[in-house]
Amino acid sequence: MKVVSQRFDIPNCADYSVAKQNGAYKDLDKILSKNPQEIVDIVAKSKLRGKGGGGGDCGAKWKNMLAWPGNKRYLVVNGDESEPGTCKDKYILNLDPHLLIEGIIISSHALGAKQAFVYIRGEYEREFQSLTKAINDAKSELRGLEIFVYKGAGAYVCGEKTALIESIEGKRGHPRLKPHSKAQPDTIFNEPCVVNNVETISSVPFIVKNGAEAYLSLGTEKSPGTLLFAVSGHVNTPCVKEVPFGYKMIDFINNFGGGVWKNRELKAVIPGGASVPVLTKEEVQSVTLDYENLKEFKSALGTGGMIVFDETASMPEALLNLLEFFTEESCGQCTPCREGCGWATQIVEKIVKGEGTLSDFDTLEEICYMLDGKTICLFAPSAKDLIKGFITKFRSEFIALLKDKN
Amino acid sequence: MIVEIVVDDKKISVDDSGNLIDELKKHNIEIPHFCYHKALGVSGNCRMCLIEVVGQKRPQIACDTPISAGMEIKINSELTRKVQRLNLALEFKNHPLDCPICDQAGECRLQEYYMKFDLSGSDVDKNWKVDKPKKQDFGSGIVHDASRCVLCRRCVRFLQNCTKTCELGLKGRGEWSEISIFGDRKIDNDYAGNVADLCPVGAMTLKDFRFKQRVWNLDKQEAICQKCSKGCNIQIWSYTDKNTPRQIYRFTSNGDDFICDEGRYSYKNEPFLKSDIASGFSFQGCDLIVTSTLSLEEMSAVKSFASKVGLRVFGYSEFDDENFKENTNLKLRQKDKSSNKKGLEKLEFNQNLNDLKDDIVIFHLGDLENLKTKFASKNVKFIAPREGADIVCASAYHRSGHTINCDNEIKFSKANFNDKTSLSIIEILEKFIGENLQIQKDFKCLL
Repeated sequence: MKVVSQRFDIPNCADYSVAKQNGAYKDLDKILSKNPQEIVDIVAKSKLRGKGGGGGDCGAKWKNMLAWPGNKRYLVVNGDESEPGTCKDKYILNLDPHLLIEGIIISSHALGAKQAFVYIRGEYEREFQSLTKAINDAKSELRGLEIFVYKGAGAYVCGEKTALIESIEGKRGHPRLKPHSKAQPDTIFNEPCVVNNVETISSVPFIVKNGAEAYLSLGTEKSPGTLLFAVSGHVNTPCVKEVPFGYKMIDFINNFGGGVWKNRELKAVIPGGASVPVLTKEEVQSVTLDYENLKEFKSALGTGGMIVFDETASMPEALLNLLEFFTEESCGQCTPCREGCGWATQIVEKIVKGEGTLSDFDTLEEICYMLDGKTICLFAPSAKDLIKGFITKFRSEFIALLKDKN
Repeated sequence: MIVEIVVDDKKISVDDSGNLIDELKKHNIEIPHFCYHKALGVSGNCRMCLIEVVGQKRPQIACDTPISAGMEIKINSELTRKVQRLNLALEFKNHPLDCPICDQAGECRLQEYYMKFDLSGSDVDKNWKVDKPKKQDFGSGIVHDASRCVLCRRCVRFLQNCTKTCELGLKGRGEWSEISIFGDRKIDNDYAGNVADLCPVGAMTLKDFRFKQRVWNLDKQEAICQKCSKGCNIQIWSYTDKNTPRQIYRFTSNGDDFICDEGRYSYKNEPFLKSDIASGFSFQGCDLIVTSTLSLEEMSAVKSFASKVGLRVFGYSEFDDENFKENTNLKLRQKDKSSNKKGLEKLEFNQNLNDLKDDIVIFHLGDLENLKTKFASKNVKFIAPREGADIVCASAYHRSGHTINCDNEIKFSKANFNDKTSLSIIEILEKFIGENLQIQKDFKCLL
C-alpha cells in the first residue's frame, strides 16, 4: 500500500487533469465539511510522525498549537530539503504536487489556517515552478485558502524550523531561542503556526480518506506508516522508494539500491542524512528502518536518506567532506558551532594530510563536548554526532594516518 | 515578586520578573557574558553565561533562564567552570593576538574572563585563524576590526532597537560572518559612540581615542554630562602625573546607559585651567548673574554670598539651541543646552533682567561668546573655566555637584579630584568673604 508515491509512475501526473483523473481532490467537499477537530483526531490517532528528520508526533504538535491563543493560525510547509543524501521531497514536488496541495488544503482546514506558506530551497528551481504551476491550475480546489510559495537562498540552516520562519519573515535565517514552556508553539508574524515537512503533509490525504487504522496497519507499532527512503553513494541503482517502517536496511540496499557497486564489499552506511552516527557493516546487517531500532543502535533514522560506503572509501576523508559542509552551513550565531565546526574541520584536515597527533583527538573531544547541547539549535549536536560516530567506529583508520602513532 | 533562590548553596532573594544576570549583579555575583545587555534584551548567542542549573540535564544560559522560587544554580561548580573555559577557548580560536596594539586592553571582557576562567595556553596555529579585514571606517568616528569581533551583535541591536537607524548588519555566514555597513551607507546618527562603549572587545573602537593612552593609566570618575538638560551618566577618564597637569582623555557612558556624541566629545572643550584671582578684582557695585550651568550647591553659595555682601543676584537660563533636531528614536538629547535650568527655577532666582546695573559679574560654567553678545551693552566680568575669564574657576567636571535635569530628577556628579588645579566657585567666594558660606545640602525638598 502506498501513502505518498501511488501516482509517481503515472506519466504527467503533475498535470491537474491527469492528477484529478487518478484520484486527486476526490471527496474533498466531504472531507472539508467535517469538523476540523475530527480531522485533527484522525491524524493524532494514526500516530503520524514527522518526516523531516525529527520523527515527532504530528497530531500532538497540531493539538499543542490549537490550544494556544491566537487571532490567526498558519501552516508552514518545510520543503528546504538540504540534508546530504536526502532527495525525497523533490519527488513529491515534481511528480505529484497535487498530493501536497490536497494535504495542505485538508491540514489548513484542520488547523483553522486561511494562509499556508511553502518554503522550498533556492536550488530547487524546477520544483518551485512545478508547485506554483500546480497551485495555479488547482485554484478552484483551494476554496479561499491562500498558498504562498517562498524560495530559500542556499542555506541548509533554513531547514531548521525557527530559522525557516525567520527567513519567511524576511530576516536572516538564524534559529530562535527555544520557548521556556513546551506548551508554546512556533509563531510566525506573532501568530501560532505549525511547521511540517512536505512528506508529512502529503501523508494527510491518505490518512483522512482511508482512516487511521489503514495507516497504523503499515510499518511497526511505534513507527507506523511509510517513508520515502533514499539510497545513494556506492550502490548500483541509487533511488527513492516508499516502504513501510520496519523494512530491513540491508534488504533495501540490495533490493532497491542494487547492492554495493562494482562487486565491492559494504563498509559503512550513514542511515539518515549526514547528521546521524554512522553504522558499521556489522550493524547494517541487523538494523531495521524505523525510529526505535536505530535508536537502539545509538544512531537515528533522521530523513531516511542512506549513504552507502564501499570498502575503498576513506573514512577520514569522508568525515572531512561532511565537516566542510557543516562549517559552511553554520549560521554563525553561537560561539561553539561557529568556531567549533571550523576548528574541527581544520583538525581533521591536518589528520588527513598525515600531520595529526594523538592530542588532536583530545581537542576534538573538547569541541564535541561544547557542540553537544550548549547551542541554540540542533545543528551543532548533529555535527557532534557526525564526528563522534566516525571517530569511535573507525578510529583505526584515523590512527593509521597519524604522524606519530604512539 | 521577590523570591528566594539558591546560588552555590547560599540563599539569596531576587525579583523573579528581572533577568538572572542583572539580579545576581545586585548581589555582586558576576556571570560572564557578552551579548546580553539590559537595554538591548536577550540574544542568547554568545553562550558565555552557561551555568549549571540543578535539575536540568544541560547547562542553561543565565540570560534566558526564568527565575523560579527555590531554583538552585551552581556558578562555581566543575561543570560551569568547564563550559566557561571551553567557550573561551572557542572564542579565542579565531581571535587575533592584538592585545599589544588593541585600545580595549585593560577593559576587555576576553582578557578579564581569560584571567578568571581560563589561563591555559593555545595550540591553535595562527595560520588557522580566519582572515577578516581590520581598521574599517564605519563613519561617525567608529573604527571596526572584524577579526576581533565575537559576533555578540550588540552594535547591530543597538542601532536597530534603540536609535532605529539600522546602519549595521551581518554579512556572510558561519565563521566568515562579519559586522558590516550596507554598501557605503556609514553610521550617521547622534549616538554612534555608544557602539564603541557597548562592544565588549576591541572590535568597535573610537577613532578619537585610538592609540592615545592605555586605560590602566587613566583615572576614572563617575560624573554627569553638563552639555544639555538631560544630565546623562558619564565617566571621566583623565590622566595626570608630577610633570603634566590633569588632562581628560575621554568621556564614556557608564556601561548601562547611553550618551550622545555631542556630550561624549565635549571633553575636548573642558580643560583644567589654573585659577588666578587677579588682585584688582572686586564685586562692589555689581549685579550678580548665575546661569543655569552651575550646580545647586554653587547657586546656593552665590545666593548666600550675595545676601552677605548686600548685592543683587539674578538667574539666566536661555540656552536653547534653535537649530536642534533629533533624528533617531533614542531621544536623549535636549534642546536646552544647560544642565540645571530646573534648579535655577526651583531655587527661585529672579530671571527678569530688565533693570540690571551697568556692572555685572556672570558665573557661567561654559563658553562665553553668546553671553558676551547678549550682554554687550554692559560692563561684564566673567567667572568661568575658560581662558580670558576674569576669574578662572573649576569646570563642572572638576568638582562634584548636584543638578536637576529636564525629567525632574536630581543628578549627582561625583567627580572629585585630589589635585586641585583650579578653585571651584564656592571656594572662590569663600576666599573673598573670608568665611564659610551657608550652602543648602538637601535638595530633595525642591522637587
